[in-house]
Amino acid sequence: MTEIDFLPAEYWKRRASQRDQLYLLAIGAASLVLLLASVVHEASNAAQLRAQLNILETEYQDVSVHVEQVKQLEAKRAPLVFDAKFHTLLRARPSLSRAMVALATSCPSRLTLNAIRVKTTTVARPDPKHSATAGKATAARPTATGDGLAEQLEQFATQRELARVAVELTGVAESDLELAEFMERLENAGCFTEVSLGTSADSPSTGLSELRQFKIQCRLVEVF
Amino acid sequence: MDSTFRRNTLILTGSLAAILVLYFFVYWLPQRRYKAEMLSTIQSKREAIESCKLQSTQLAFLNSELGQLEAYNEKMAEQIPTVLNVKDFLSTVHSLGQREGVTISTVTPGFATELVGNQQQPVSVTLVGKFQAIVQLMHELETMSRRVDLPDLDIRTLDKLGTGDQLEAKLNVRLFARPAKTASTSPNDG
Repeated sequence: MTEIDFLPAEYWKRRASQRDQLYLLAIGAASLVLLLASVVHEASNAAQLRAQLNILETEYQDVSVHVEQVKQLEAKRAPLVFDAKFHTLLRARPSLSRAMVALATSCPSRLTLNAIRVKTTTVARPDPKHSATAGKATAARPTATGDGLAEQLEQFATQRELARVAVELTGVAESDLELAEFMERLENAGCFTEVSLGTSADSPSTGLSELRQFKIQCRLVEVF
Repeated sequence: MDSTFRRNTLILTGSLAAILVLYFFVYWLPQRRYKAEMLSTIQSKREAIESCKLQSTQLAFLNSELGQLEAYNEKMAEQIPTVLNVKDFLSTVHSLGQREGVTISTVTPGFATELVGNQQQPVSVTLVGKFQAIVQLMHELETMSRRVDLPDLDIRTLDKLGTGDQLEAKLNVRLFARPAKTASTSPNDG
């Protein structure tokens, strides 16, 4: 069986050319659609990020208010801490009346105290490194604060730190045994430290030759 | 026909290539850079927020600390008068002495000096009385509403033998005053 084509060859060529052009147009359109989709995708991503950034900005503003409050409170706290330190230093003294009571209760019956001398002395700082750091601290604070009050406070603190309350007890005892008991009681009283015997000798006074005249040195415990 | 098709193909391919290049350089690259910048900003913002949150956790602690400090300072400041009133102090000592049975024999006020924005004045007081009464008076001085410092003390018996119960006590007292002008000794008050 033979198939006979009645249409001219030109017609088929034109049809093929039109089809190819349509393909090209379709490819072009598809490419443009893809490009457009990419643009939309990128733009939506950017918009999401912008929205996220806006939310974070708002959150940052909110927490910044708290940080500002913290800074204000810290600025308010500095002078209060300064005052509190001064008051604490002022209070940091051992109680003399309590020490006197401790002395009276520690005194054995066969021992008489003739004199009690309490003197506040300042000792030299033993560690030179420590004094160097303290010096730096005193030098640094006034420049930051703008006046010498901080320096004065540091000096006062150092003065308090280096202050030692020395106690000297003079009296007579029947024997060295009473003296030893008295010293032991002083050490256990909780108010005194570094209890040491200065002298213990026969009393030169007339009528008291059997008594021992003594001198005891000790230090009041610092109460901070 | 073939030449038209070829021409159309070339035009389409060329246009697509040009659009692609334009898209890549003019839109995609700047957009990518912009997104990277935004991501970096978001990251740094998040870190800043975390840091701020950490700092703001101190808020409650600071508030409570400030309250405590204010209360403590107020309580302590109440014990320091605004003027160094030695007369007032002496009348207190005399009335305390009378109550405890202690005689105030001498009173020697020293020079007032400055101490961290406050004033201090040493006063030397000589007391005569029994040991218990003197100690009671010292205790009253230490615990009275006005803050005083007792740095030195010298107690001795009045007679050489030490048989009598009357003692002489030389007491150094330091008085403090906080002038109203420098009510706050803070270094930051300027």
